[in-house]
Amino acid sequence: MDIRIQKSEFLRGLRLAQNIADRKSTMPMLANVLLRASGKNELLVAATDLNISLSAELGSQNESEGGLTLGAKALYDIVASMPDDEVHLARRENNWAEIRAGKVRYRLAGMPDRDFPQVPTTDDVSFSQVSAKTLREMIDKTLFSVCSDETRFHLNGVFFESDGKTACMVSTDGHRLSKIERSLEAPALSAGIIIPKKGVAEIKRSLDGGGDACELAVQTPAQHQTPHFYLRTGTITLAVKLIESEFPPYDQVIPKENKRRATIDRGIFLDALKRAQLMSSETRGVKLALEDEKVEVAGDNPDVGEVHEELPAACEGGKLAIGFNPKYVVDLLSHMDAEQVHVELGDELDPCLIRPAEDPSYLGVVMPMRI
Amino acid sequence: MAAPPPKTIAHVDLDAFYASVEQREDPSLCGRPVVVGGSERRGVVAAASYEARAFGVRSAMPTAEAKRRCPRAVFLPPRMERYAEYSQRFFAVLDRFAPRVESLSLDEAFLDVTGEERLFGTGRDIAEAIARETREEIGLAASVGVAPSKFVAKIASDIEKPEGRVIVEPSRVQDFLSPLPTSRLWGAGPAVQKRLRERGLRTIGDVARCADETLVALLGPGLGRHFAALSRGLDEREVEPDSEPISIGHEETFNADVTSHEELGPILLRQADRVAARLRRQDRRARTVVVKLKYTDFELKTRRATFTDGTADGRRIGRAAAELAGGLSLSPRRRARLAGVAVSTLEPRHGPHQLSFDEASRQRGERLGDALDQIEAKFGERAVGRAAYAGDKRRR
Repeated sequence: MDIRIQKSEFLRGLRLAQNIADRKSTMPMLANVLLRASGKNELLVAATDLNISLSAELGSQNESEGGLTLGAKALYDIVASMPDDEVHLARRENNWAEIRAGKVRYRLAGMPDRDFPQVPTTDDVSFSQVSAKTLREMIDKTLFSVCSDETRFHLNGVFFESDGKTACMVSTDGHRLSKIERSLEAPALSAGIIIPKKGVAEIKRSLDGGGDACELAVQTPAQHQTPHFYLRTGTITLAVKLIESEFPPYDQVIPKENKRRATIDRGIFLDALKRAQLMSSETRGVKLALEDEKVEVAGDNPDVGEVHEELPAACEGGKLAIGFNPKYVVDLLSHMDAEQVHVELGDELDPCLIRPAEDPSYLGVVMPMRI
Repeated sequence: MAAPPPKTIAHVDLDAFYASVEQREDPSLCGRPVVVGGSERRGVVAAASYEARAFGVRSAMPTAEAKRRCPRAVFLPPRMERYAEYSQRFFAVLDRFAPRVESLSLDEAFLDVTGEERLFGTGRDIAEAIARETREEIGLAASVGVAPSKFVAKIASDIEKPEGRVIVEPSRVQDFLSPLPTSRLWGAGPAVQKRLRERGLRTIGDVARCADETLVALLGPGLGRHFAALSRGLDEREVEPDSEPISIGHEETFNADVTSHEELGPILLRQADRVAARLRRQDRRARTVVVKLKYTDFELKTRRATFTDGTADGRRIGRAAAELAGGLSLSPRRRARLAGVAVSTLEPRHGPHQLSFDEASRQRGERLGDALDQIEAKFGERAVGRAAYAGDKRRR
C-alpha cells in the first residue's frame, strides 16, 4: 500500500473516524482506523465502535493497493499537523506506516487490516434523499433531552417515526420530553425506531460538514438483519445500530387540555430562569408564580441566597405556584426560535407543556418538582 | 500552656453480642456454647459465647476449626437484621447518657461523659448505670471502661470482660497502662511489636520510660511520637458523634457459587428489598445504586449508576442492580462467591424532589414497600416476600 492524498480530503474522513474509534474498548483494534487503497484512485477510511460505523470513500492517487489499520487519534493529529497539502502514506514491514509531507517523516506502528471488524454494507438498503438542514434541526431540538441513565436503555436514544412525508423525533429522560415534527421524505416506517444518543450525535456531526443534501435509509428488525439507521453524505456513510427495545407510549404524557396558559416573551423568560438558576441547586428548583399579567420567578437556596423577578406575561386560567428544575425549562427554551412561547399548565403536580407560539409542531413537556 | 481539663470518656462494648442475642431469644441456649458464623464450608466465626470461648473458639476463626474445637456447640447463621434492631435499642440507651455518642460498630461505642458526673455521679456510677439499663432494657450484658481518653477507655472496657467495669482515674492512668503488653497500644501491629521487643521494650511502661528520640529513631517520626504519647496515656482524640450514613448496603457470601445472571437476578432483588426497607426506615431515598460481585478468585468488581431522582423502591433498585450486573461476566467458568447491593447519594424521602412521567407507578412501588414493612414489623421478616424470590434458592 502506497498512496498520495490531499490533506483536506484525508482529514474529511479522519475527523469523523477518530470520534467513532473507541479508545476505551477492550479490543485494541477498535481504537484504529482502517485504511484500504483499491484501484488507482480510491481510499476507504473506516472506523467502528461496533455500534456506530463509518466508511468514507476518499479520492487518492494509489501507487499500490493494500490495507492497514492505524491509531485513529494519532493519525488524525499527525495529518492535521502536516505542513504540506499532499500527504504520502505507505505501508512498511510489520505493519509500520510511513507518513510523509514535505520534509516531515513519521513512522507509526499499525495492525494488519484483516483483523478489522466487518463494517455494515449498504448494498441491499435503499436510500431516500432528504434535507440535511431539516434533519439537523430535528436532531438539535431533541438530542438534549435524551436520557443518560444507562440502566434505562430504551430511553438512551431519539425515537424516530416516519410515514414517508412527515417525520417525528421524540426524546425523554422520564422527567421531560421534547417532540418535533417536520416534513421529511424519509422512508416510511411501520413502527418507530430508537437511534442511540451517541449515534445521533455522530449523525449530527457528519451533517455539519456536508451541504444540504443527504440520504438516509433504515433497516428494520423485520428484515432479519441487525437493524441500522444509515446516513450518507456525499461519499461518507454512517451506520448506527438501533436500540432494540420498546419506546414508551410518549403521547400519553403530552397533556391535551390544560386549565392554565401563560404567554411569555421567550428571551425574557430564558434570561430570568438563568438568573434564578444561580440560586437553585440539584434538589431545590425555582418557583414560578402565575398571576394575571405577570409571572414571578423565584429561587432560594439556603446555602447561597435568594432571587425574585417579575416578568410581563398574559396568563389565563387562574393563579398557580409551581416548582421546576430550571435546567429543564432553560434547555427547552434555548432550543426554540420563536419570540413568544406558550406555557400550558394544570395543577402544581401536573406536567407542563411549553411550545413556541408560532410553531405547533415543536413542543416540550416538563414534570414539575415537588417543593 | 495550661493543660486542657481532663475529659471523661466511656467505652461500652456488648459481651459476645450476636451469640448473646441468640441466647436471649432462645433460653434453651443459655449456658451452652453458641457460635454464630458462616457455613462450615468457607464461613468464619462472627461471635462466640463465653461458654464456647472456653473451648478456644474465637471470632474470625474458620467455622470448621471452631467445630473441631467445640463439636457440641450450637452453630447458628447470623441474623444481621435482628442484631441491627438490638443495636438500635442499645444506642437509644446510650443516647440518654451523653450528647456525644460515637458508634464503632453495632455493639460498641464511645461516650463523652465529661461533666455528666453532676447528673449521674462518679465514673463508676455512670458505668454501672449504663450496664444496668442495657441489661434491663435489651437483656444483654455490657462491659464498660471509663477513662480520660478513648485509648485508655477502650482497654479498660476490655480488660475485665465479660461484665467488666473498669474506671481509670486521671491520676492512675500511668499505673494502669504500664504493666500492659505493647500489643495493647493502638496501632501497634506485629511489625511494631517486634521492633519494640528487639529493643527490650515489652510493656507499655517500658515504652513510656523511653526517650521520644529513641522511639523516633526506632519507628520513624510519625509512629515514634504516636506511641510515645499513647504509652503515657495521652490521646487527644475527641468523641465524634455519628454523622448521617452515606451509604446503605446488603451483601452475602454464598454457600454455593452463583454461575448465571438468571440465578443472580432474584438474589439482587431480595438484597435490594432489604436495602430499600432500611432506606424507608430512615425516611430516605437514594439516587445511586452500586452492585458488587466477588469472584471465586476473590477479584472484586463493582458497577454503579446514578438516577436523576431518588427512590426507596426495592424493585427499582433491584432492577438497576441486575442491569448493572449484566455488564459483568458470570458463567460456570466465572463464578461469583459474593454479591451485594448498596445505595448512596441519600436524600430525605419526603423532601423536595423532581417528579417523573411515571410518578404514579413509582409511588405504587414505594407504597408497596411501606406495606411490606408493616407486615414484617408485625409478623416477622419471613412473613411475606415477592414471588420473584422463588427463583432464589439461597433464600433462607
